[in-house]
Amino acid sequence: MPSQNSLDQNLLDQTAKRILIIDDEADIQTIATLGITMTGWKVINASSGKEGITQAKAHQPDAILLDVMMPDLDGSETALALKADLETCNIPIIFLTAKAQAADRKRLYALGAQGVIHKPFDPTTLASQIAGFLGWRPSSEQRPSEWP
Amino acid sequence: MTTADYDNHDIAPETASPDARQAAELIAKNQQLQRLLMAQEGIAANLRRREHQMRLMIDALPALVSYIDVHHRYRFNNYAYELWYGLPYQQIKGRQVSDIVSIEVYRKMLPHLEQALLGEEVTYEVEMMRSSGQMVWASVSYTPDVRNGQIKGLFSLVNDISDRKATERIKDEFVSVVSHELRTPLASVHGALKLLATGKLGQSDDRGQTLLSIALQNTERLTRLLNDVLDLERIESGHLQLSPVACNALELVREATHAMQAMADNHEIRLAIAPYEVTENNIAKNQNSQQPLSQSAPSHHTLTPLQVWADSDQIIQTLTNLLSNAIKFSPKGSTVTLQVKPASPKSGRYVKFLIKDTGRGIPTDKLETIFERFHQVDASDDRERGGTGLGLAICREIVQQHQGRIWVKSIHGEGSTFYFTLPMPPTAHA
Repeated sequence: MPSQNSLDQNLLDQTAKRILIIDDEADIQTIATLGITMTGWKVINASSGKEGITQAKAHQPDAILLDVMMPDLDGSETALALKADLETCNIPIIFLTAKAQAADRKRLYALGAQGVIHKPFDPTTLASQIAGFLGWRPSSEQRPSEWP
Repeated sequence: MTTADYDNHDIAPETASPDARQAAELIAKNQQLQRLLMAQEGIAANLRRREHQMRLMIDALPALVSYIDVHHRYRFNNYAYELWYGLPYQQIKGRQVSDIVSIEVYRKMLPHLEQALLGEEVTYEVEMMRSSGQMVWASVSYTPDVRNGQIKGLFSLVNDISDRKATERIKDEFVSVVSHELRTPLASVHGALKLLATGKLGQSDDRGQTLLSIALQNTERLTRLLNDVLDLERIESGHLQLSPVACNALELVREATHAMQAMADNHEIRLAIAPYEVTENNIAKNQNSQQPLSQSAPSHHTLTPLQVWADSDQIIQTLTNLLSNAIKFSPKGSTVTLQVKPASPKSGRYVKFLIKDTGRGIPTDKLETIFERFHQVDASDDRERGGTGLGLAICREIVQQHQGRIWVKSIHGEGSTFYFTLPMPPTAHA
């Protein structure tokens, strides 16, 4: 079992991905960026929904990590705008949220998200979580033992 | 001669003539009747006075009080009704409920009215419009009026609960904001510590690593506590959004054990699921005693897919909480066993889940209290193992909201078995 303190680089697709992180919290941006770039992937940053839409159109990232609670255009509104635009509708979105209820997750998936990551998140496994949601690596599930 | 003469005890009726005696009797009876009439008038006056007092009291109530007959007509209403609907008493009495409230509200009220007129006491909440046009939340209670075994109508009590609803909304918003405002800085602290702990940003010496480890563990403990407090608040305030569906009980157990496998591995504990075995013995035990044992009952062991009516996310949370405790308090190398089986037929159509460990067990005097908030068997020991003291309280709330029951049997020093029951799906959904 890999140590929780190590970055699970071997499980990641070796092609360097570009992730757009949209979050108004500078500290979360720093931590998420550090966690992802340590794996060799690249990060584009945006501190608001409006800026995020502009960056998504300009850079066409491989995925967008989108915070839910932001002032002005919140995460849900940003996701709807991205999905409504032909230039950005195919970029997969993964939400970052402090709300952990099943109803909240259902609502976010209904907006077209392909994953939901809860805060506080583990930055050392952030890239592999994104890869896992988007099918960029094989799954490695373990089952509990059962009586024969 | 007058009646006054016969009130005078000097006159002896036995010396009077027959006509005089008859007249005296008639006068006496007349006096008696007059006394009865005066008494009845007194009683009637008392009744009128009391009715007037009752009316004053009922009219002073802020709640809407009314009597509705079996044809859904108002037979009585208090002053609060007149204020609410802006209609005088005479324009409400004798009219159908559907004439007074809006059609939308009447549609919501109808099933409850019908239920009460079948003899059941009913309470529900509904949004209603006042004469001012303002929509307010109301709590409505119906008490059937049963006389000589027949339902004559119902007494209705309606309370404006818009203040309570507003408070709940404010509390919900507060919890939502607190949830975000606490979790976000916690995410930053936790994330920063996690990155430092990798060692890829510069190695610390042993003391530095120890301090990092302490800081990380305690941020994780804070996160768990925050999650549990918010969960419990949401559950206890009735805002847990249960979405029950027919679920395979064994699949719920498998998902929970899969989620806890990493923790079990870290503690060197084996997780095992014992399937419910369909054998001749337990077919006979669980069947209706009037039915004969089936000749074709299988003699080999098979899995019987047991279904429950449950919100799968909430039950998986319950199972993971119970598994977490079992793992934390079990000795290394031991096994935690899970099982699902039908509950005893006398308890209705329920499925029983059990989680058995071989840990230190729970003293008899704590078997009930451990399900309460922040009650732990040994607080200092649990703090070391990262417990918040809320996990079992959350499990109990979730199970009870599913109309189930949770309990524990334990032998101190040998281990514990936690049980909970969940209802089977309603027959149409089974």
